[in-house]
Amino acid sequence: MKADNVYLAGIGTCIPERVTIDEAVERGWYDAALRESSGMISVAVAGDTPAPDMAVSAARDALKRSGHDPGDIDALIHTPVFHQGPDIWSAPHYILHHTVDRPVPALELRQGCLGMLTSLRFAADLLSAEPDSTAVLVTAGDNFSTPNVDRWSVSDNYVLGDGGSAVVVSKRGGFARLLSVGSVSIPEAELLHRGGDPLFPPSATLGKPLDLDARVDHLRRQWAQGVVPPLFHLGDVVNEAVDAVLAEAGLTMDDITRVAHSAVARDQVTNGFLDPLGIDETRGTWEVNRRTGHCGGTDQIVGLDHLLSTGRLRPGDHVLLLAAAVGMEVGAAVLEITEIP
Amino acid sequence: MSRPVTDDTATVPAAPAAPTADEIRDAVARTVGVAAEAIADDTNLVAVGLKSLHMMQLINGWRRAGHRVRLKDLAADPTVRGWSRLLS
Repeated sequence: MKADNVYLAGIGTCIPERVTIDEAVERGWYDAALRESSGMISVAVAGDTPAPDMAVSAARDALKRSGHDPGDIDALIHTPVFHQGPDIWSAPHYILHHTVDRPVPALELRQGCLGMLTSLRFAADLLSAEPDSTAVLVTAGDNFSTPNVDRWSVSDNYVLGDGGSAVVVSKRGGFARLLSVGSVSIPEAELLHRGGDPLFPPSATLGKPLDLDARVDHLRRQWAQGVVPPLFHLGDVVNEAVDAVLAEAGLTMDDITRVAHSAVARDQVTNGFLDPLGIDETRGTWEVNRRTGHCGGTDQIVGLDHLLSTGRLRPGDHVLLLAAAVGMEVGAAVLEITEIP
Repeated sequence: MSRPVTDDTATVPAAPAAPTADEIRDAVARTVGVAAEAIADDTNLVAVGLKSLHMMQLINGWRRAGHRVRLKDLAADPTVRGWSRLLS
């Protein structure tokens, strides 16, 4: 989707204390053999800080930096990956109450780790469709420090990190203009994150440990017996999604200063994102990803905030936000930096 | 680093020489982390540890060399013999 007159006016993150990989190895949480090969340095761990409180903290920063009054916010979209608090209860309204505290719609948008980018899209759609609207607050927040989750071994493809993030999407202006945003899905690949697990009763209601690798192992056992899973090259879908948003923005990869991508494992980043795009690690965000772990939909905002706050970007630069999620689905967005917040 | 040639947009100037069965075997062995001797022409590569990520890595290399190949095709016949046919 080509965006018109939509900006990021404020950005905020809430990344908790890091646990170093060395400590994780010493305590027996992380495989010593992976210490070197993973390239990981530390992982953000929130302990008992609730996920919505990290979203609130990030949102307050984003609102302050946006210069918007609470009255300018016309909706709140919260986009977590994991459980937020009491079942059925609405985390988005809790976040709304503790930030702008206005009688506007608050809702949750679930799309795995692509939720932040798709929330930007729907926020832009809302602002474009409703003439009297001014701004939408988008938040994310997850804490995987729960029983039944081992963040260090839940998947071969990443170590889970905790954190919150927020952006104020505005028609009034901001530090970055949203040029385009979109995604490409592979419907049949939903099986890849389901494996052999039954749909009912939902596994969380049974208090079962989360083990994504066990689902993959189930599919690999079937594959070895000739039942081919719906596999695809992540890089092909990345290129399809990125080509589309670049074309809508009237740009090519040569125009992209940096790519803020999902904080998945280094071999996934290299083989699924960077090599297919024809760029190397210095144009990505591995330098910060390796210090946080994979914080759901928060990765791209942490990456962007890092690039802005460490002088990696200048006005006029273009940034590609890139996320791959369960679905499977890959999404991307193109930003033009207009000022350094 | 040049962008690997993708399936649909490939414009290969001259057809590159197809990798031999032994070259494919060695590449798989190196990427998966097993001995090449453990891989016969008809060994199911999934049984020796092949994962989707390994295929992505192998395909990126083959595409850089100008070979047009899709992951789903390789996944449907995960043997050195099958891949030799697909890469020829």
